[in-house]
Amino acid sequence: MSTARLASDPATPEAALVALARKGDRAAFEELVRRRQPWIRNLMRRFSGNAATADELAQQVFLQAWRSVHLVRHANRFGPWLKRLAVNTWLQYLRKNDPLRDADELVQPESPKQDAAGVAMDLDRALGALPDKVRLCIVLSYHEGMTHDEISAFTELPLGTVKSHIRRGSAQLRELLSAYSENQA
Amino acid sequence: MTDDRDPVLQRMFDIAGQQTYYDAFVDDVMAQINRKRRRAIIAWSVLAIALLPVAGLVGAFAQDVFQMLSHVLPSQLVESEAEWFDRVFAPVNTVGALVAFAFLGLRAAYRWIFA
Repeated sequence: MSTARLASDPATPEAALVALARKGDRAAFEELVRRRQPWIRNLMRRFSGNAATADELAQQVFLQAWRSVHLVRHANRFGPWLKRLAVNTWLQYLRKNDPLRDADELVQPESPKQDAAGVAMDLDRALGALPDKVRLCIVLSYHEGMTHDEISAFTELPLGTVKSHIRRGSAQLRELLSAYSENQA
Repeated sequence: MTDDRDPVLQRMFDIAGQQTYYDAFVDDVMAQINRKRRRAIIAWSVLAIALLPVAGLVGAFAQDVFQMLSHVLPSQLVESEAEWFDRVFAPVNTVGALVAFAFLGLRAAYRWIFA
């Protein structure tokens, strides 16, 4: 199979695409962007609370990925490598900007939404009320399913700090999104 | 506290994280990559064209410098009567080795200070 066909074949394993992209194959990289974009855009959306900012940041992540994909040592570890780029891009953005400049205004929802877009909007607004580091830990825990140890290693925050951020953040989110808890009860 | 997550919040994250596919996003990313690549090619071409006359001007001077360096760098730092000394220390007993060590030292210092 030619590399062009291999790159655009949805059945091609990600590691093979990464290996091709490392050699400068743009079609392979395009397929990687196609596969990974919902995940990265969603992650950035949870971080920033704004769809437009999230897409802008996600684009930056993929541009950075294209520039440095040749540095990926293990092709089968592309996901974690991309996540690291995404978190670094977000932290860089935090240093330069008011992170919640574009975030939607916080209005405590009176009733839970039924559709995914409505839930996402309420969740993002509530996340926007959390301090930067607390939000980072909460998103990595709930959105990425990372353990406290993994988050600690990933963010270089002490384990105790990560635990307290998640405990405090969860309590604050529960309060802000109490309409959802009441509905479940 | 364990890694247990609040089930209501977890469910909300799961719903909110439902994959939203956006075709135009991929096109935007690839268009940017192509644009940056074109810009890089143009920039390098302009630089190469700009450097051509400069190369003509400094070519003879650069050749003289290279010739001088090729004479100076291999020359011995310490002259010795003992043949064994010359043989053992030959790789480091040159001006070139001294320059290389100075460069490595400066680089290590830079990394130590700015890392």
